[in-house]
Amino acid sequence: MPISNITRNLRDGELIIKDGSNPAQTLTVLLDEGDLTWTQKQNTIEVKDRGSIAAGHTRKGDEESVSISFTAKWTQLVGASTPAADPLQLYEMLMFTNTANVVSTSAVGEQETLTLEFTILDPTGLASEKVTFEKVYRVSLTMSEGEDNNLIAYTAKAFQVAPTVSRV
Amino acid sequence: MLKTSELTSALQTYWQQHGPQTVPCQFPGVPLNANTLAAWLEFWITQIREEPRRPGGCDRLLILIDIHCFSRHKTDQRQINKLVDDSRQALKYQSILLTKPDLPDSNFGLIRFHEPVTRELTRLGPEHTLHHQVLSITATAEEF
Repeated sequence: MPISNITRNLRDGELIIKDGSNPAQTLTVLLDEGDLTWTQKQNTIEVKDRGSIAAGHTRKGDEESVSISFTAKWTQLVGASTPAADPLQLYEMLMFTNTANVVSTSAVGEQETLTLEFTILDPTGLASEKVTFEKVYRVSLTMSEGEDNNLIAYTAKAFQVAPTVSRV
Repeated sequence: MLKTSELTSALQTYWQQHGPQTVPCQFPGVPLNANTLAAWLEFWITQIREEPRRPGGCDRLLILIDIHCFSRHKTDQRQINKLVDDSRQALKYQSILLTKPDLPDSNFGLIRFHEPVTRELTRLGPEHTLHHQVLSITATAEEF
């Protein structure tokens, strides 16, 4: 199996957001800061015996959803939701703006979710990988002004214990 | 992709049209005999920098421009300040649409100037009569 020991950096990554349409609407985040971060948490119940760890034991705790965040530069906030002919913009996709026709990947009645696909291209071309986050729901969207560019900071959770990592 | 030749052409053309018209300006590679001049300017695109980013997006370049202002005016010691002020006024917060020379209606990018910085480089001493100040200004060039 091809394994590449060349380190990856933000120049190798590509972040794509997909909705639940059939076929899915996709948006490649071109102006992100290259700061995608995700955290896979694990809960453990520590059962100590009269305060002693040596005599105690552990049990698996509740499962935790994956925390995700990334930041992107602003350009246009709305596009497809204004005249439909305009291209879909990051803000309106993340916000499920009504008239942008962004469809949740979860069933009707559940929280609105998206799919995030993060592809890390192997610089040697041997072992590129894709990290897929399913059922991603927004926790916060922070819009801020900046000297060089305004930023959208997105924090979210994927309703799964870990993303799916696959070879592409 | 934004080409440095197109950026240079756009910046120099803009400067020729909007910069101070009262004194001659030298561009790199264009000779100017300053021996007999009381004042002149030099226009330098000192740095064009590309920040780390994802590939695939549109080009975004950070440009540093230095305008060197020279004056050896014998009576008007403030001429150097006027040259710097006129240069600041001509550049700060201005925008230049980038167009192909053969297709004037085809805008493909924009240069936006930020805030300038002025530095005094005049050397002191009785033999030094030349005033020299540099106005440095950054700009962002973005491709549509």
